[in-house]
Amino acid sequence: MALSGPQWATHFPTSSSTDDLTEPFRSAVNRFLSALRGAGATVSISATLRPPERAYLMHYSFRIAREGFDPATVPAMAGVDIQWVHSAPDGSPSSSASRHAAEQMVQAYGIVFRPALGSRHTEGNAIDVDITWQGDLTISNAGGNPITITTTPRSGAGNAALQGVGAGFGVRKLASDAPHWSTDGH
Amino acid sequence: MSSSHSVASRRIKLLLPFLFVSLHDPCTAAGKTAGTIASRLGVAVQKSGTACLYIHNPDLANGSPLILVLLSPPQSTTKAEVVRPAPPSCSSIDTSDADLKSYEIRSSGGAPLPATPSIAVSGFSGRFQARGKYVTADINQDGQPEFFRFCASSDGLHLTVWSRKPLRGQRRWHQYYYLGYDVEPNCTPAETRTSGH
Repeated sequence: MALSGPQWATHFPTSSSTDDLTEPFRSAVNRFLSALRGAGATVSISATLRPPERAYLMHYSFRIAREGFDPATVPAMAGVDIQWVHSAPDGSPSSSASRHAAEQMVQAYGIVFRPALGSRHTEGNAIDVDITWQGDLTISNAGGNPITITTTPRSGAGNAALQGVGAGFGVRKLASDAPHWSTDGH
Repeated sequence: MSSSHSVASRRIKLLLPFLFVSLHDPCTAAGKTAGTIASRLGVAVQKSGTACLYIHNPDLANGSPLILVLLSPPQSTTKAEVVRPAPPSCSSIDTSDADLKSYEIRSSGGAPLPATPSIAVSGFSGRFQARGKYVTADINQDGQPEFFRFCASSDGLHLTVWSRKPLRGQRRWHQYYYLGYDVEPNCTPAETRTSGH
């Protein structure tokens, strides 16, 4: 087992590839993005799959470092061979050393609010993508018919007409988070 | 002299109804307030060891004073100042918002800057008051206190300022902060809507 510490932040990285999404969402996203690129929109993906292992490491490092969670009671996760409890020089468990190592992980991850353990991203059913365009956008909808979007804003974050096109492909917008699209809008 | 004064008087009389409508038009008044507030409120957060400020104001000079409102109850304030335009470590908190400017900031009150996001207030010389667990200030100087809040959506935080009462008063300001990881959502629709203030 490897002790907790900032080196864990490089393990289980967040993907920005649609190849890591779960079917049938992967195909739906690829068709939607292809239609967007074909229409001349600018597409910038920031996240697709966030591995559950990463969410686990982020969640418990934050709870140990900032919320007083007992490192000895962190549940194990298959595939993550981490030792949360550090020892003092005499071999006894050291809560301060454990908390310090967890805090280094929090800083390495850049955590400012308690991370969730699971989400549409950890399932491979969500994508964070910025979509923008200039002028009118003529895009082929899921049925292959051209739709011209003349409304503003010219961004995926706020344009209801584009969000309707995305829904036709099975890629649904979550209103509260500017770049977030998923299987069900959550 | 008297002739020009008379002409001026007639012009003022003609303009008075329009001036009255303008000063009492709530839309115009709200628009001015929102515009003022948007350039005076921002988000401060530590990123990769750098304290960063994100604000819709491209004209903050080095040394500009800031008050940071720490948002977790019990709320408090601390002082900071602008150091310079942001280095690359202050990566954007909302890539869909091209007008959001960023600066590096530092503590000016001796206390370390908070690790969690706070709301930064610039160009404000009024008082901050403690009301129970919350801090208020009359940011737009309309005689009503403004309250400071934040909540989580799925991928980010929503920081808001409200007049009179949080959630039930008028939302005066809103800024989204994309975290890049998942959090448990606890926002209400009023806190996340992007239209309005």
